[in-house]
Amino acid sequence: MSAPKASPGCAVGILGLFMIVPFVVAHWVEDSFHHDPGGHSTALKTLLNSPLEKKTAPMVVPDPVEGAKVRTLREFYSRRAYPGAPPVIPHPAGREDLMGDSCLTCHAQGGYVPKYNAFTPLSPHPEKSNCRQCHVPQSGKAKGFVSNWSKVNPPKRGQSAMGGSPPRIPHTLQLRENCASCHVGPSAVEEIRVSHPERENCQQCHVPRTTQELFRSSLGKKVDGR
Amino acid sequence: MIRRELLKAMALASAATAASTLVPGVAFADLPEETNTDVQWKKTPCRFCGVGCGLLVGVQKGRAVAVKGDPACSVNKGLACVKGYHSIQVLYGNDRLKKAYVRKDGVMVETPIKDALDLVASKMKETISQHGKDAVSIYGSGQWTIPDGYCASKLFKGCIGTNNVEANARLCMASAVTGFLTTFGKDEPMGCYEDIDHADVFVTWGNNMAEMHPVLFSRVLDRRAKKPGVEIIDLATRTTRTSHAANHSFLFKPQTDLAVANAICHELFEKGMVNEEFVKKYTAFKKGKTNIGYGLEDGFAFKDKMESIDLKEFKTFLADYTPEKVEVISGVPASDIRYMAKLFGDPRKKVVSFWCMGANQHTRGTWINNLIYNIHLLTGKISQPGNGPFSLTGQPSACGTVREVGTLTHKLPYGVVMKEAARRKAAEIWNVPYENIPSKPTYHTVEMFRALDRGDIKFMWIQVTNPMVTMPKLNRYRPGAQKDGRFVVVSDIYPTPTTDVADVILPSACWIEREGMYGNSERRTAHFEQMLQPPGEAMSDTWQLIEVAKRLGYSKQFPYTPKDHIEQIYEEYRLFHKGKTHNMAPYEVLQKESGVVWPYVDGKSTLWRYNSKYDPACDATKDFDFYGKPEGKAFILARPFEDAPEKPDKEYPFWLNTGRVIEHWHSGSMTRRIPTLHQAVPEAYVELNPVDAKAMGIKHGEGVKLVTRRGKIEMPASVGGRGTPPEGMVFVPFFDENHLINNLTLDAFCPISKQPDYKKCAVRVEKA
Repeated sequence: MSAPKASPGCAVGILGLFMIVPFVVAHWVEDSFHHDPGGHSTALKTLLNSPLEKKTAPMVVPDPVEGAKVRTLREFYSRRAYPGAPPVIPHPAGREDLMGDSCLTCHAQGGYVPKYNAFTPLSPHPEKSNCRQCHVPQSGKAKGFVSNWSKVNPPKRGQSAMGGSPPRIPHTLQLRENCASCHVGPSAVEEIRVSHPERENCQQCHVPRTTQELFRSSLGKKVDGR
Repeated sequence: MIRRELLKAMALASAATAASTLVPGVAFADLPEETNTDVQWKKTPCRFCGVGCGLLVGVQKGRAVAVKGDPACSVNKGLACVKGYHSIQVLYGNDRLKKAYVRKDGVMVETPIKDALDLVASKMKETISQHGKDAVSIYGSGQWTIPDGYCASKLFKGCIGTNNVEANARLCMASAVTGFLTTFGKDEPMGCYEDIDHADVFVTWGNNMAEMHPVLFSRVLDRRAKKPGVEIIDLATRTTRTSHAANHSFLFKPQTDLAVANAICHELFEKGMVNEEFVKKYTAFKKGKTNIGYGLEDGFAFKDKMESIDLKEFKTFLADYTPEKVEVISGVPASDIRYMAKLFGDPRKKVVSFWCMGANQHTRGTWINNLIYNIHLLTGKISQPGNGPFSLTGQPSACGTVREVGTLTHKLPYGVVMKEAARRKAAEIWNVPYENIPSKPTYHTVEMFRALDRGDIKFMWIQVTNPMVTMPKLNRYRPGAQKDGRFVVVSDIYPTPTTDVADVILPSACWIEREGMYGNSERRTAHFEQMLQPPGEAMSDTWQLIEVAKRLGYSKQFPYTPKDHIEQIYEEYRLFHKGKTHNMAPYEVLQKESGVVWPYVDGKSTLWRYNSKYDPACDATKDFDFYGKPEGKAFILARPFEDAPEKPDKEYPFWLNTGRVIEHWHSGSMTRRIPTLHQAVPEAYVELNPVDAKAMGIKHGEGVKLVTRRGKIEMPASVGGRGTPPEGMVFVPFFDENHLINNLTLDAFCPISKQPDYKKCAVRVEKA
C-alpha cells in the first residue's frame, strides 16, 4: 500500500474518495429538525435505536505517511475549552468572510496535508456548513482579562461494565454520531484509535452512557435512574 | 463488493498497526482522566441572543463544567453556537464583582451589600422628597429575567409612582414593537421558528443572520440543503457572511430599504400578484404623518395620526416607487427588485422575511417594519407554516421581559399606562392605589439620558446593561452621568465603563447562579433553575430590587420568600396575561419543558397567531382574524421613503455603520472574559472597502482615524476581512470598550419608536 499522493494545499486521501458523505448527510439532515415533543429529536432517537452502519461510511484506513505528525490526546483536548466543546481552529483559517464552506474541502474529505505533514482531522458532522458558528481561530493577541476557568478532566477511557467487556462510549453522541471520523484512520488521535475498524457497527458492542448524558435533570432530580 | 472487501482488509492491516497500543480498559499514564464523571445536566435558555437556544449545562462539584445543545428544545435541537458552547466561562472571570462598592471621596470602597442597599434606598427616598418621583429612574435590559423586569416595573410604576422605567431593548427592538402595534395592534411575531422548515424563500432585510442568529441560519441552510429550489435573498448595505451564503445578495444604499420595499409592492400590483381576496377580507389601507423628524433636539415630541385611505390612493402613493425610479434611489437594479417581487408574488412559494437591527435601528424603523408587513399582507403570506414576516430580536429576553412585562415608560405588564383599564388592572394585581400609576409616559431611553445630563433625573439605577458603551453619542451622555448631583447605581457582574460612572456598584448573580426565565423571539418562555451559588455577596437583580423595595416600605407589595420568590412572582405576573390572546404557561410546565410558546391555551401552544386553524383567539368563522385591529383587519400602511438625517458630505464623506460579530455579545463585558471568544476577536477594527483603502493608502492592520461631528477614534483597518462595506462606507463593531465607537455615533431616532439609528451617520476617514 502506498501513501496518498500529496497535492498542494489539502490532498484528498483514499479515505476521502470512499467516504460516502452524502449518504450520512441525507440521513442526518432529513431528521435533524423534526420536533419530537416527547424528548429527543427524532435524529437522536433514530441514532440510538438503529444500527450505525447506515450512518457511517465504510471504515477505510489509508496507510499513514512515514513520519506524519499525529495529534496526541493532550493536544486534542488542549483545543477544547472542556471535553466535548467545539475545538478551536488551530491553523490560519483562510477567508474570514465565509462561514466556512472552504473548511469542508479538507475536513469532510480527510487526507494528507504536506504543509502540516499531518492528516486532516475529519468533521463528524460535515452536513453542517456554517463552521465558524462554533469553530473560531485563536489570534493569541488578546490582552487583559484573566479567567479562573478550570477544565474538567476528560472522561476515563476503557470504562467496561465488567472486566474485559467492550468499553462504553464515554461522551455524548450529539454532533459526533459518526464514530469513524474520530476513531479510525491516520488522522485519529493515536490513543483513541480503534483496534478493529472493520467491525462497523460500533454500537452493537459499545453502549453510550446515554442515560446520564442525554437525559436532562428534571425538577432538580436526576431522572436517569443511576 | 470486491472493493469493499479489499478496503476492509486494508483497513484491518493498517489500523492494527496504528492502534496496536489501544487496549480497552488500560488508561494512559500522562493525561489525568476523570474518574468521577458524575456530571448533572440541567436545562437553561442560552445567556446570549434572542434566538433562545436550549442548552444543557453540566454541573459538577458546584461548578459549571460543560455545555451542550438541548436536543429536547425545538429552537436548536441540540445545536448551539460558539457563544453558547462557551457561555459558562462567563461565570469565571478573575474580576467578577463579589462585593458591593460605594464611592467615597471619589474612590470606590468595598462595602457590605446590606449597607450598600441601605444607601440605595435612602438615596432614593432623599431624591424623591427633594426633587419628586420623576427624579428617580431605572434602566434595565432585555437581559433582565422576567422576574427582574416585573419587580422593577412594580416598584417604580406601582409603588413609587413614576414611569421612569426603560430598558436597553429600546435601543434594539422598539421599532419592531411599534411596527407590530401600528400594523397589527398586537406585539410580537405571528409565526414561529418552525416556519423555517416549510419556507421556499428566505429574505434577510439588513440582517447578517449567519453571524447574529447563527443557529437559526443553520436551520435555514438545512432547509435549503434538503429542498431543491429553496433560495436565500440577502438584502443588505454591506457584504457579510450571510451575503456569501445567500443565493443572491442585493446591496441598497443606506436608508433606501424603504424605497425598495415600496417598489416590491408597486411591482406586485403591476404584475397582478396581489392576493386580492386576502387583502379585501383581512386588511385596511391607512396612512400616517410624513416628514416626521429625527429627534435630535432635547424634548422632541411626535404623535402619529392614522387616516383611512382606499386602494386607489394607496396605488397612487406607490406610483413614486416604480422599480426604475427606485433603482436610482437605492442602487438596486430594477430587474433585481422585480425578481424579489416575483418570489413574494409566486403563489407556489412560501416566503419568510427576517430582520433585526438593520430595520430596527433606523430613523424610520417603524416604517420599514410596516413596509415588510405590507408585502406579506398584500400577498397573503402570513400566519401560515412557512409564510410570514419574522422580526428577530437581539437579546435573550427582549421579548420576555421588555415587551411582555412592559419595562418601557409607556407600558405596563399588560397594556399601556395611558389606558385607564390597564392602570386599574395593574393596581389591582400589584395591590397599590390606582392613583399611584401615572397616566403619562415620561422619558424614553435617549431622552432619559438627556434628562440625567440636564439634571431632571438625579438618580438612575442601571441593571444588566452597559450604557456607557452602548448609548449613541456617548461624548454627551458619559459626562452627563458624571455630573455633580447625579447618583448612579449599577448592578453588574464585572467592572465596565458603566460601573466607572457609578456611585454604588451592586454585585449581581449571573444567569444560572439564580433562578429565572427569558422569553425569546418566537414567544417562547424558558425557565432555568439555580444551578450554582453566586460568588461572594453577589445577589440576583430580582432580589436586589426586593431588598430595596422593602427598605422603601413596600413589604406588603413584595412579600416573596427567598426560596420560592421566582415562582411567586411569575404566577403573579401571569395574571396579567390571562385569556386566549396572551396566556402564559404555568410555572410547573415551564420547569418541565425546554421553553413554552405563548399564547398557551388549554395546555397547548399557539404556534401561528391570527390563523383560525391554529389560534383559538380567532373568530372561527373566518380563516384569518387580526384581532388586534378593528374588524380583524391588519393595516397596510402608506409609508414613504424619507432620507437619513446626517448623510455623507464633503467634510465627512463616508457612512459610518456599526454592529456586531458572532463571537461577541453587545458591549463585550461578558464575551471578552471568555478566553476562546476574546482570543478569536481580540479588538475592534474598522472595515474598509478595498477600493477606498487603496485610494487612501491604508493596508489591512494599519491605523485609521475616524472623525464625526461628535468625536474621533483610532483603530486598526480591516480590509478583505470578515465583512466588506461598499465604497463610501466603513463598518465598526461596538463590542470593544477600548475603542468606543459610540463616542462618534448620532443620537437620531425613529420618532415613533424612539429607537436610535446606529447604522448611519457621516464620518471622515483618515490614515492614522
